[in-house]
Amino acid sequence: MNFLPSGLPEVVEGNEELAPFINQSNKFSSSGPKPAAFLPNPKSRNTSVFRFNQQNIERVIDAYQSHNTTERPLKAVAFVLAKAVRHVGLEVIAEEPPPRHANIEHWPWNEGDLNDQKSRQKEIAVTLVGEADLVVLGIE
Amino acid sequence: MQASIQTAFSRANTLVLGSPSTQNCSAVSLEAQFVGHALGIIQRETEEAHSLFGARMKLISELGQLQDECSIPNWDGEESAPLSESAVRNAEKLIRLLPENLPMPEVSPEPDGSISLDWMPSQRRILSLSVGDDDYIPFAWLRGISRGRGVADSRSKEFPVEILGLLQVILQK
Repeated sequence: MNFLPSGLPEVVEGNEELAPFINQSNKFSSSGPKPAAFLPNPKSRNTSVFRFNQQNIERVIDAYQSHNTTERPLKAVAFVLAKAVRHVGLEVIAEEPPPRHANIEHWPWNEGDLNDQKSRQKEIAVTLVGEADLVVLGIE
Repeated sequence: MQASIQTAFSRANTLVLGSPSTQNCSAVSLEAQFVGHALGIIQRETEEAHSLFGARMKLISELGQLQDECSIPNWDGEESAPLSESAVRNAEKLIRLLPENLPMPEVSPEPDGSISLDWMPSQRRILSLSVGDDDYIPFAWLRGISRGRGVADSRSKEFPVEILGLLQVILQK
């Protein structure tokens, strides 16, 4: 088994939790994270996540502060299991640096029909919302 | 307003004159009771109208705040695109077309500069629309273990019927 500089295995295991950072308060509600929190960035074609579990919330905040270059505070974290991501046809691929970073890849793309592409991505995103655990932070 | 007042007086008439309990009351005249009931109905209906109008206006105002907050490239430090003017305009149009008896959605910014309109009564009952630069609205829904997706046409002056149908299903407990 190969290991990354962070000490984590190169292959993301199914039971690992993945955490996309949420630094905009409209991206979650009392019902949970919103689909927009999981949608891929069209430039990188992936969703950036960190490999942390809910017990390590302080480390999540530290990682966010070292990673994010804006002055926006971290508002919430949506935790989802890697196996739930794979179950909807996506893949999780570790990419360091920064430490513990990974990307959710293999989103559907359809340059010929952007609306079809978006509805496919949304269907996956709403499914991930249904599987996610939201932790809201009290940082202002 | 005139119609509303007439309706209120007509209902008050039924309530006051048709109610045996109020017919026996001698301390307050029938006319005073009639006016009291009518005013109560007018007040309740006015408050209801203001509340619906208020929720819609509040959401449109929130949309404006969201546009301000997400107006520059990489606004979130995650390379997201700024919300486009036309996406905001299209989202506002859709919010204004939503029938009054339905709850307002929540708005959120998407990484490609579109605006998400979401109804999320719970984490497993979701209808999410993506409003972008054109007249077509990609959407997806989740209800329990069922899910689906589609693209609605918003060129008409009515709220897209297929989305209304799905919304009823999502809102149902």
